[in-house]
Amino acid sequence: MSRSTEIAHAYLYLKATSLRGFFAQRIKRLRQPKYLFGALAGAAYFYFFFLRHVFGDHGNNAIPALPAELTPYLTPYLTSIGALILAIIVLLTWIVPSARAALQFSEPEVAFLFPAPVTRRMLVHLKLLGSQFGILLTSFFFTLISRRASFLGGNPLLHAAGWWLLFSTLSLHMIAASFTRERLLEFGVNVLRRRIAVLGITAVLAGLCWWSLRRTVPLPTENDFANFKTILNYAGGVLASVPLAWILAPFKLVAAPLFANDAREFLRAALPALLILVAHYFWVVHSDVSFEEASIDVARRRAEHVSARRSGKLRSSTPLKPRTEPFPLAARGFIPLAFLWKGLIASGPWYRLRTWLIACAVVVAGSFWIAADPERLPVLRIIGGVSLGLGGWLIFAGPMFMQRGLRQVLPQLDIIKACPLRGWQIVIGELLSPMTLMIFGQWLLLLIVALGFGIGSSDPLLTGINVGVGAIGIAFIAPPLCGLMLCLPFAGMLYFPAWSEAPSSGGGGIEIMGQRLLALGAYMLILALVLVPAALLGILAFLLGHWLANLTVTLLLTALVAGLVLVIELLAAVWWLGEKIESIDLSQDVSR
Amino acid sequence: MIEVSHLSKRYGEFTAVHDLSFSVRPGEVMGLVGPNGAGKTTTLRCATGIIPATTGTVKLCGIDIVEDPIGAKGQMAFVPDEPRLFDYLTVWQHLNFMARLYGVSDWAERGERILANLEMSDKKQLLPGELSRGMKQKLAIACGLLHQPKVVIFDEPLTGLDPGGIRRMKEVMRGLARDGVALILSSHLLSLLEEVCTHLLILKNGEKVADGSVAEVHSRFSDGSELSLEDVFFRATGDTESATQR
Repeated sequence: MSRSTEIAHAYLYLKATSLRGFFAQRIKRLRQPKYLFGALAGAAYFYFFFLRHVFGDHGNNAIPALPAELTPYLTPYLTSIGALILAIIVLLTWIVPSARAALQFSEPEVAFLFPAPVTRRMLVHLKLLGSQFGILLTSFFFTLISRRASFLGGNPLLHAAGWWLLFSTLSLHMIAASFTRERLLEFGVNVLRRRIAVLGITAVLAGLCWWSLRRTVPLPTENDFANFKTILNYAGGVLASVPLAWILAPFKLVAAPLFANDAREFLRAALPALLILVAHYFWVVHSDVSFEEASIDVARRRAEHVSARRSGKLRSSTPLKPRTEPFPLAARGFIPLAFLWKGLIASGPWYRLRTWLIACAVVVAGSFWIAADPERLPVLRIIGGVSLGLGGWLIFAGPMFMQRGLRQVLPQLDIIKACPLRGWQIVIGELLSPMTLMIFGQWLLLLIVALGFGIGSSDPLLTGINVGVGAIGIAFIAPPLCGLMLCLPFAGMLYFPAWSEAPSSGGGGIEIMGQRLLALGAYMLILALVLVPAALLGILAFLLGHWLANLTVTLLLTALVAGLVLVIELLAAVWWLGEKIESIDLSQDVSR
Repeated sequence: MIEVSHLSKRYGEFTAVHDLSFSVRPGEVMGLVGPNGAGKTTTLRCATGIIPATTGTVKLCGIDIVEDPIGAKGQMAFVPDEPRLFDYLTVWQHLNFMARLYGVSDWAERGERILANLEMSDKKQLLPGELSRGMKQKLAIACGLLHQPKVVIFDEPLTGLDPGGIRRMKEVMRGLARDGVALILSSHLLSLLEEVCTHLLILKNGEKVADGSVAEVHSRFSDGSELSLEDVFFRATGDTESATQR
């Protein structure tokens, strides 16, 4: 057995053993209910949303298959669009990266393999071998996803093979490109010169394509947008024009197997794609460049990134320069304000009252400028509608994003608990920053909505005053609602820390995904229950107001009653969570 | 002044600390030692009010930490083994934040003085990411000392410090003791305890095996011969093999 084969065997042994250990650990922890239920929920989700579509049962939710006669008609367009996307990705790999050539190994792999008697070319081979694990897994998931939304026929296995060919070629191209960039650097072509050269070539090619298109393909007319078929026809004409078709030709060869409808078509498409793959392989293994130092650096940064994510941080890098303070923090006063002060500093220099006021001024000025011309009023309504949708989505999704910051409370809780603070003070302190960020964002959106629908309104119900009062009412309800919604993940974290600490329990996986689905379900259910009293009393107030006064007063009364109920609920939640923080036994309750 | 009486901490069937009583008077430095799993961290966490004791009481400056946690914790500073600082706050902003938590009105003057004592005056505008391990530890101490605590609890204070940092840290602890602060110092570094501590508390399996002044503990376990603290420790904890090998 040659030295290379021995090393490859050792590396495969390492990968296979690690993989086996990984799955063994995952299966072993299914004995814990939190992982078992998570796995069941995740598996059910995967089956109903992906797997059953792969094996032919498209169910009611699947996109209906197109008539068989349309499939050959569509394939060339899809292949061209796929080729265009690939071309853009490849172009970016030559323009964007500025880092030195590096192969992505894990830190332990670097520690064991780099000092070992292994040649540079062998390391490249090991990397290619190792990357196949990821490529196979990615191909599998892309097959699930693309089959879920697929209206083309074809065999799932051929489809997966098509993805594999595409990802393998792309992966090899990225490595080859990084090696070539390194070699160019050795020849004195620095990042800036390389970018100028690539952009210059791209500009020349784009100019040629444009010049050719202007001569051969007329500008689109309304008829070209009449239906899906006319759009496709026009796009097909553009993509088939010379020289664009020539530029896309090699990319089409790589993408073609993915869109093959049967085994014969796949084999015909796979041969040139395989040749391109092999050419890339020789390009990579015959590029003799130094990548070791940069690879060590990449491994270190990846490890830091993973560590940061597991501890609930969004970024692994530490800030480089101090940030301005949002307001002067006096030594005495409402203690939770110190947490807000700290949180706003951490959020960045943009999250300041001044920025928000400027944004509001811009919104007001912009809205009145748009409304100045009655023909532009629909634009204002569209902006208002989009902001309304965004605001509605943020109300529910915002706490989900913000709870990541709350997760950092647990590792710091022992330090915070050693300070002379009441539990409720800690709760308010930790809630204040995410609440403030969300509320000011919601208020800004609310302003856009109010101006979008209120200015120049001729609707008897949506008068400027009614819209304004409605917006004020919602603005009053928003803070306690936002606080309550943040209390839910906070409570989940304090009462079920092991469930909310999923990332530190060893990365993703079907059971972690299932846990998140269950947590989301519980979140929505509890939220609905919490909102019931406010909604009921709000409806009562609305009916009473409607009976006694006009719509403006009714809206204000409704918001006031619903808001007060939410405030009471929020205060109760803060007190309850504060009690929990005071009684929590960090060594037991927060055990991993 | 720290008074711990009949402190026990149980986790289900397992007893981490059993019926532990000790006291540390102003100006005393008590070294808390014991093998891994002896219950040192649990004792410290109960003493600081981070976790509740199952039974027993902890009083800091005469204030019961369960009955009046705010009053008791206001007299205390806890310096953990790993300085956990806020990435986005500068050295000075850390002190500002702590001042608000403890209500220290004259924090700016005190902060200047503490940073000068810790040779950190020129680091005020730096972020934790720009500080060495030793500097981070000093910042954690500065934060702890800002409200002039009467009780300071150090958990493995020398972890990761260079020789210069170790020397300065010892000076800080001696200085605090001179100022009448009651200190608890948990460490595996017996040489540090020998140099700095006036009293010792040796734990094993959650129980006290020795307690008293350094001289008293020495005399209790020596048979008339000159013994190092290391030998005393092994004798006290019953690790006879290690004790005789030395």
